[in-house]
Amino acid sequence: MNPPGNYDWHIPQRQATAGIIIMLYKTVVTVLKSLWVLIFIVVFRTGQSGPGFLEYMILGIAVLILVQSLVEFFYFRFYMLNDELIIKKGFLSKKHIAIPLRKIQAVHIEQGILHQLMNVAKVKIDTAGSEKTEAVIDAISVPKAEQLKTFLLDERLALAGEVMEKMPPPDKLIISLGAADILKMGLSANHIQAFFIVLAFFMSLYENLREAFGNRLEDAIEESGLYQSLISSVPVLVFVVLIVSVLVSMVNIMLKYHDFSLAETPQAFKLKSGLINSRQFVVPFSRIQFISWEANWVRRLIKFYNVEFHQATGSQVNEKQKIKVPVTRPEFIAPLFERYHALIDDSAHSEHHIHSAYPWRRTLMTAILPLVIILPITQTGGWNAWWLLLLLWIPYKYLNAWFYRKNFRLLVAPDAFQVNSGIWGREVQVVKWYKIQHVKLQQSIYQRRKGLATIRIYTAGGSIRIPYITLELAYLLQNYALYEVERLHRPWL
Amino acid sequence: MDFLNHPVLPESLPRAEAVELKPLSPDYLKVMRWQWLISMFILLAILGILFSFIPTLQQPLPIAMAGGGWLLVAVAWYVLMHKSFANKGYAIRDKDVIYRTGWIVRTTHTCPFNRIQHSTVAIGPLERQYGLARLVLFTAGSSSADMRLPGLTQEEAQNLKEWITKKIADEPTGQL
Repeated sequence: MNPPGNYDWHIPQRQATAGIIIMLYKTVVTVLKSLWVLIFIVVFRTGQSGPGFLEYMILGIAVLILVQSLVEFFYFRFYMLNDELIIKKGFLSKKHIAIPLRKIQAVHIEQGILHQLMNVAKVKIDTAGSEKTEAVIDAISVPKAEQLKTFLLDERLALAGEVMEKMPPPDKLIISLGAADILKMGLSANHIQAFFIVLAFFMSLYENLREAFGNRLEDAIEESGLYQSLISSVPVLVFVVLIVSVLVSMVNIMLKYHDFSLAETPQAFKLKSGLINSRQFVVPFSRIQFISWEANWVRRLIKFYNVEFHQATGSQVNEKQKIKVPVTRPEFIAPLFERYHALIDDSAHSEHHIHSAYPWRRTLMTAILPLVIILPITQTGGWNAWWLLLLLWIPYKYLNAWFYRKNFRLLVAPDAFQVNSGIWGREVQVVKWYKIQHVKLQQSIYQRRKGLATIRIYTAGGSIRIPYITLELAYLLQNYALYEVERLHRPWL
Repeated sequence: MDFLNHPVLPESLPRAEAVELKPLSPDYLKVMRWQWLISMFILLAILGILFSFIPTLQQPLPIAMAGGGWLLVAVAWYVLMHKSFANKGYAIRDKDVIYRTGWIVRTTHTCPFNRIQHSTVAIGPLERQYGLARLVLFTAGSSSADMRLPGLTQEEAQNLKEWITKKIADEPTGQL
C-alpha cells in the first residue's frame, strides 16, 4: 500500500476489504425487507420435521446474498481519468459512472455504526443539478477518504481556477431537527392514516399466517377460548389498534425525518433526512412553482408547521413533486418563503373575501341535495329513524363552509398572490403570477345570476381554487395573470 | 375596487372576457346528437339485459321506474346538450387561446401559448363522418390534456396546430 498522503488516484482500485462486510450488510437488509414474511413463517412453523423446500430456498437465498456481495465488492473500481472520476461496478449488468470534476458540488464523508466499528468511511459525491448520478464509494479507510475528498475538491478548484477565483459560499444550514422536534411531529401527526395502515398490516399478517397454518390457526384460537374474549373486548382492541397506530406513525416519522436538515445554497435548498434510507433532495429555487405552509389544528396549537415546495420535475415536466419541510418555529417560515416570494400579509395591495352566499350554497350542493336523494332510499325498506341521524350532516357541512369562508383570504401583490384558507387547520399558499400555466373560470347558473365566479389557477406544481368571488374580481385576476404570463418570457422552470 | 397599485392599471389590461367567441361548427351538434343516441341505446340495451335475466325485477314497479329514469336521463341530456352547445365557443388571441363550454357550470379556459408543451389533433370516428377534428393542448403539471377544442373543421384544426407549433417555436416556453 502507498504511504498515506501519496495515493495515486489514477490507478484503478477497490474499496477497503472491510467493504465486503458492508456490502453483505446492505444486501441482507434489502433481502430481509422483501422476504420477512417468508422467514417469519419458516421460523414459527411447527409440526414438520427436517428441512423442507422453504428452508432450502432460504439457504439458497443466503448463498446468493454472499455471492452478490462478493461480486459487488470485487467488480468495483474507482479511479481518475482525464479530469473525470470514474466508477465501474457490476458483473452481470455493468455500470460505468463518469463524473467530471467541474460538476462536483460537494464531497461527503459518512460513517454508520458498522463503518465506525471497522474504521472505514463512505464517500458520497454530489453533482450539480438534480440529475441522480450521485456516486457512492461504500467503504474506504478513513485517511484515504479524507485524502480523496481534498484531492477531488482541490482538483476541481484548480480546473475552475481560470473561471472562478473563490470557492462558492458554503451551504447555509437553516433548519435541523432534534429529537424533541421529531417527538412533537410524531404526536401531532394525522393518526387516522396510520390507523388504516395498521389495520391493513394486521389483515395481511392474518392472511399470511392463515396461508401458512391453514385452518389450524382458527381452530387454535377457538379452542383456547380466545375468540370469546376477543369479542367481549372490542373496546380494548380498538384502544390497542389506536395505540399501535400512534406508535406506527411515530416510528414512520422517526425513520423519515431522522437527522433532518435543510441548508441553502445560492441556487437551491438542500434537504437531507432518513434513518434507514437516507435521502437527499435538491430543490432549485427556479423549480418551485408555488410554495405553501399548512398545519392541522393540533399542530397550530403547538406551533408546528409543514412548508411545502410544489415543484415540477425537470425531466418529466408533467410530474409534480411535493417536498415537505417540517418547521418547528414560526419564524423559520419567512426565510423559506423569501427564496420564492415573501409572504404577502403586510405588503398586499388588496384583500378579498369569499361571497356571503358561499356557506349555504355549499351546504345545499354537498349536503341537502344528496340527502334529499339518499334519505327516501334508506326508508324504502320500512321506517327507520336511525337514518335521520344523517341529517346532522347538514349543520356539519354548513359549519365547515362557514368557517372556510371566515378564514379565507386572497391577498394580491404585483408579483404574486397569497391564499389563506382552512377550516380547523390553516394553509397559506403563495403563487407568483408568472408561474401560472393556465386559468379556468367557472360560473354555475346561480353564480351567473348573482354575478359571482369560481376561478381555478393551474401551475406546473398543482392548482389553487378561489371560490365565490365577484365576477369583476375573477376577470381582473384572470386578465392580470394572463398579462403577467404573456408580457415577458421568464423561465418558469 | 382598488385592485393593484401597479404601473399597469387594471382597466388597461387586455380583457379576455370582451373577446367575441367563435361558435363551433354546427356539424359538431350533429356529432353530439349521435353520441347521445348511441349512449342512450347502449343504456337501454343494458337495462333490457338486466331485466330479462333477473326475474325479481320483472314487475310493473321496477320496470316503470327504470323506464322513467331512462326517459328522464335521455331528455335531460338532450336539453343540456343543446344548451351547452350554444355556450361553446373559442377564440385565438395573439398570445393565448380561449375556450368556453358548459351550461349548468359554464367554464372558460384560457391558456397562454408560451405555456403550451405540445398539441395534437384528434379525430374520432363520428367526427370523421362530418370532417371535424379536435385540437388538444397540453400544459405542464397535469398529466391529462388541459384544453380540448372540439368541433373544428379538420383544416381549421391542422392550421391552428401548425400556427401554435410555430408560436411555441418562436417564443421559447420558458424552460431552462
